[in-house]
Amino acid sequence: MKVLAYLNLHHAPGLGPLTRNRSSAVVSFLGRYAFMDFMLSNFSNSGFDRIVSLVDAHPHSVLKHLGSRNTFNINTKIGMEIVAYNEGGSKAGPRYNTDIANIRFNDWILDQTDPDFVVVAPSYFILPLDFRPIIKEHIANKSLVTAVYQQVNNAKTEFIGRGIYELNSDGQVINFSRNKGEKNERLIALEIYVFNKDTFKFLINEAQRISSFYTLSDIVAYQAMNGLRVDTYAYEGYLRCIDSYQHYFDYSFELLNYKVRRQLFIPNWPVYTVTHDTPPAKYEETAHVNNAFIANGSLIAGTIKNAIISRNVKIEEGAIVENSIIFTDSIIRRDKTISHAIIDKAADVAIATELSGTPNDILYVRKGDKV
Amino acid sequence: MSKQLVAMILAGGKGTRLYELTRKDAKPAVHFGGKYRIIDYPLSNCAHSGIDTVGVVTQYESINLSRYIGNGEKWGLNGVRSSTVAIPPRQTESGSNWFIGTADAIYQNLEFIDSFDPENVLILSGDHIYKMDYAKMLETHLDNKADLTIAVLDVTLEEAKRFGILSVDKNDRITEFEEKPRNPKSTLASMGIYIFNYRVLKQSLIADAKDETSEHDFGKNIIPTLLAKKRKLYVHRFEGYWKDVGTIDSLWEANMDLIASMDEDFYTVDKHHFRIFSEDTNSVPHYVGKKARVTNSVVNQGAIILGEVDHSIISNEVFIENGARVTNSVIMPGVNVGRNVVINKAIVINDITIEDDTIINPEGEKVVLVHQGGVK
Repeated sequence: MKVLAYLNLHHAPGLGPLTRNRSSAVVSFLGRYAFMDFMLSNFSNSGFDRIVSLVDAHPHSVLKHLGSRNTFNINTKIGMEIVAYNEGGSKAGPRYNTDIANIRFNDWILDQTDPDFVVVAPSYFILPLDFRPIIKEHIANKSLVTAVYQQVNNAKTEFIGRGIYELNSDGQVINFSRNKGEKNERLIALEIYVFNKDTFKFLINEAQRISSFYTLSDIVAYQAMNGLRVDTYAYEGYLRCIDSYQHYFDYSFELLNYKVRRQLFIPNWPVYTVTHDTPPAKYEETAHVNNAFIANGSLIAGTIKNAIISRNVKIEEGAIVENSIIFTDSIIRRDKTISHAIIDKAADVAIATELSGTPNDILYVRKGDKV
Repeated sequence: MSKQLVAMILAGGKGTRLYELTRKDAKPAVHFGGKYRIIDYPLSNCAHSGIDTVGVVTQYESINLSRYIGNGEKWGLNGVRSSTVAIPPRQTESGSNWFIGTADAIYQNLEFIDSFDPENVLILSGDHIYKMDYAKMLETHLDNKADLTIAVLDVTLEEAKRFGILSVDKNDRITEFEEKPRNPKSTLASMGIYIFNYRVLKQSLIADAKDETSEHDFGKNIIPTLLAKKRKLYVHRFEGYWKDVGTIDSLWEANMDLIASMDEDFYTVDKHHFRIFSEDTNSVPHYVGKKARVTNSVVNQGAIILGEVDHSIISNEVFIENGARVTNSVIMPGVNVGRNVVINKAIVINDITIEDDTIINPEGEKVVLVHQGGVK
């Protein structure tokens, strides 16, 4: 059984200042990961060996993260771990820069791999997902398309703008719309699909015939409402939609709680990422750390409380970091205080004595800035 | 294409003085510094020295070590012209032979070395902790047109009694070699790192193999013979940290030295220079709990610390419970330290559980090894 898995980075929500110059898929998470690592690890752990990342913008940031591009591969000869980018679509403007346009522009991938099934999934939903039972069900039901959803009871405040399904008694999609927060009980579309190859080819060609602006989710919804049988699979378990700067912050901190963390990091389901061979973290005599994630390569001499410290970060003696996220290679100098802030990569907090945001207004320091 | 320098790492020893640590692992595979294995050091040194061909001679518990070495990818030694091979003893037309001594281990693999047609061969041990650029040593070797160059460390006269000691003339040419002398004539200690002109090495090994009285050992046989034959033997002076970690005490000391040496330079200024490469365990960054206290320590990814840690090395996937207190210790990967446990001045072997309320070595007169069967 050959599966071609597309990681779909198109049409992902922005995360404010974090995604000004980088794809949301590579935004740093928990001090060591990029968001795309989670879905790519799901692919890899599910046994998918032909993995394509559909990049919508800032391809440099994605290429940099993927590095040698064998992190998620199973067989380095048979397997495929590549980046697909639609240069023309990107230049033509956001409406033309669709996932479907990218798949069609890089159609050699589909031709060459000639898969039995095509899987498409985005990177902004974070969840540990085993695709094997979904495909098993897809085969057993002789499905053409299987769409994954989660039943939630907090749609008034969460998942705003995400797709919502209405199903018939056989669990098939009969309506698709966008969540505007009218009620809490909703079936949230995760934009995760399993397709038969022929159905997939039909859909991407049909979409282009109907509208050049159509996305994959648009054509699935359009066809579902026009008679195509779209089966569904209910996912239960940890799910977060990283769709805003505030959510990014809140969902990061929530994982300091072991009860939450163990729902995302489950046994025998490793999350792979690129290794940088940094040494373990070092604590000095003056270190005072509580309730924090600390990544390798960090040098801690100051005080840290409720924080996420990424690779190669230096917290000098007398510095205080509270309720903050510090990205890779940043330095917090002696006696500086940071609270409710996100300090982006390689920033140097050396001048300002105190940088404080609030729980609802997280202060941001740009990549590479000295403040 | 012939190679200027091929490295051979002697990694077959059992390391009996490490007791349970080497019950299932060869000495070079023993965990070090929270993240590494001992053999990461010579292999990373090779990578940083521009060496692309490494044979790792294995014997004791060779499967785990071979699996760890793999194709050399962990140290980047799997590039287009690279070759990293773990070599266990093998059966040949002339029979099946275990490696008898260090020289024999290389002698039995001359065909392997021949296949790269090298000018020079670097012989290394798999059980030393140090960072060294072998390219500089090769430069010394080529400048002197030497048959053999031995890396040396300048030690104190007292320390000299524990090492192989080399006397040299004013040009650093070796005049005398003494193993563990009672009255050392020099303070230049052999680090067990050799660069041989391959032609000379091959001749010596073939001659040595025919000598039934030989112990087939580089220190005891090959070097004294070459010296007696007035071959050109020189030293290469190394300055920096170097430690043989063949005993529980020295392994503990080397770990404690690492805590002290992991200063600012190591992390920021020096962060891309000469780092030691190792396996990535795909772990989450380590977590320090709400009531935890961690000082003076080195902590690897994947650890969870809820208790107190001071002056210790905490490896990946170590779990330290509430109320536990770990001081002056090396906790190897996957260890669970229960509630209210006290551990002092110990090496705790990987993947074991220390039950709640256990007290280990509070006086700390000497270093203890904690393993599945108890405390040694």
